[in-house]
Amino acid sequence: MTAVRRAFLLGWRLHRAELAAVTIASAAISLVWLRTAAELDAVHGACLRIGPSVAPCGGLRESGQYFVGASQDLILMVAPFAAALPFAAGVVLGAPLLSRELEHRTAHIGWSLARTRARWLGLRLVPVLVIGLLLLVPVALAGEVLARSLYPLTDAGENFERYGVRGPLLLLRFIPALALAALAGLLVGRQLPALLVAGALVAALGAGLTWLRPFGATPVERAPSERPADWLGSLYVGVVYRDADGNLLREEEAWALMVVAEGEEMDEARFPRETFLVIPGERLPEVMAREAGVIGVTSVALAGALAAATRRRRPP
Amino acid sequence: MLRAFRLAFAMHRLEWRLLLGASVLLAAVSLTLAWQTWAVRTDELACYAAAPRAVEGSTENPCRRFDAATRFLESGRQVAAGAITISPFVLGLFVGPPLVARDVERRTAEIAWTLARSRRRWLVHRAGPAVVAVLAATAALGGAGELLTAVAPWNEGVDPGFQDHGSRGPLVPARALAVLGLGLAMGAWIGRQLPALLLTLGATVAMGVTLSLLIDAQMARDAEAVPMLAMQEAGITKVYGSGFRKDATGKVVGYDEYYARPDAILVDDPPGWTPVVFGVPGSRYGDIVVRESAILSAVAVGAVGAGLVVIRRRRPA
Repeated sequence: MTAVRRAFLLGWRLHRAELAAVTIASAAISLVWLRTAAELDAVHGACLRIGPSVAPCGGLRESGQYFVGASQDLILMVAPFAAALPFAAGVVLGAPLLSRELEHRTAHIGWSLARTRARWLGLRLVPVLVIGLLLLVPVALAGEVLARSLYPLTDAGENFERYGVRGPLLLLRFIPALALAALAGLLVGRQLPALLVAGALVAALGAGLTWLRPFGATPVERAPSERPADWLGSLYVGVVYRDADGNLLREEEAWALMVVAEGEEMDEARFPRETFLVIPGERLPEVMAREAGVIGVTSVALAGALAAATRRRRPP
Repeated sequence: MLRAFRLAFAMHRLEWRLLLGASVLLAAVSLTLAWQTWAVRTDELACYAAAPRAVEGSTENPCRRFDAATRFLESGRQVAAGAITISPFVLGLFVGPPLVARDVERRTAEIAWTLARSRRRWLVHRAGPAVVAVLAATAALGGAGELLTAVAPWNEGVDPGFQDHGSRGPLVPARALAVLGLGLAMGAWIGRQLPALLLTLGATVAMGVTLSLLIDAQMARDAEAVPMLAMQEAGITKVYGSGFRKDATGKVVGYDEYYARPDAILVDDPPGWTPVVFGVPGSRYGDIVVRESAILSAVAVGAVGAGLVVIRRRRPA
């Protein structure tokens, strides 16, 4: 117990500045989310009393959310930072984790004194991982609160809106980012270059996760709807075009036909039909589980690579 | 000075190799994209010129073979412009803070300060090569960004105005120098590389937000009334309000003022009046760049000055 406590204290002492930076970012984003949620809750309360005929109350019926100037601006401005936070926290905490010890030449003293390098790595990595996860919990929770206030008619557990910027995925994404950044730090051996390399690698990891979405889940075809509220909660995957007989058309063929149809007053039945490929909101847990699986496998592989690299790393 | 460059490169070899290498690569990719966009577009226009006259109702495109290349080049252009936009911040952030902080952190600064004729001279030898290297890299990127914007098919024969703001021209080096100056000052003040980098990041975000608010307020003050139908032609990208201009006198009134008049007609296009929007025409992009660059240069000079004061007063650790 004392060893664990000592490892946490050492982790805090060694990475005070980085942990402070993550704390400030996490607190700032959480406060913005909670304040915006409170503002939206107040609007919702007022709208329940006065009905949908007055702006912005009609927005709820039409699109499933309220469009309030300040909250919309803030959400648009802060959301990219919230999405990047687990990755940025992983880079800021992970890159100097081992590179600092190598750069300051304290690593080989630590390795000589530790029972095994794997144990040394565990005592360095786990406290930072745990503290980092704890620091991200407020943002993950505040994101959930905001999703419930932003879409009051939709069950947040069956809603793909704000996917990845709320709930457990935000925490899970931090784990491979930290491991990858720590691996980069170990291989590069100097803090600032490690930060650069880790930044590029973790950006690629984030892009990869976005590219892989919906992680093999099969989308369903859904006809377009006039009301945006009917779309709310589904994950958009793509669009396909079909002719009157239901055969698939290439996008440019469909567009060319539509342009011709406009000029010719073509029979509507012959119009190419635009159909969206979506994952319905009810399948949010399935997609989240798939992403969690990918993150889990990636994290285990990175942790293994990190342990192997630590064992083989020669003192600088 | 050559020795100062060699020393700077030896001290920051890995970062500078990565950053300058990436900058050279980005500039080369951007120039290649610009050249290929121009070449493909020229061939495409020649193809359309030589194509037989289109038959009404036909869905055939005689020059379809260029579509894939055009789409690919446009995606590449967007990625390159995005990378150029963030490049001054990355360069400034990773080059500025360690300039002084590394020496302070490793306790070599005290020895160097004792041996140097003055601390100011020492700082010039440390920061000079970094400023020159960052300036050269970002100027090349800014130039490549200008070409990327100029060759976009929708900019043929028109002034691009506010398009790709921040990813082209002198704003790229101006932003890099401001961030580098802030980094240098933070590094001198904190004396540790990573905390200095994190503080520089915070200061850069604060500077960016303040600057964009200042520029936006100035643009709101400079906004001109332009007929709504000529908005796109005038290159207005942000609208600060709308109203009507009286055709007979040229007098401009806001929407609220117009509809408060007793003779107001409640339609969007009242006879005798032209609907107008208030915005800054694209032709004035140069003025905005000069203003923003001047503010950024002032920030850079002020930050380096503050760094020098800190270094002069710094006592041995």
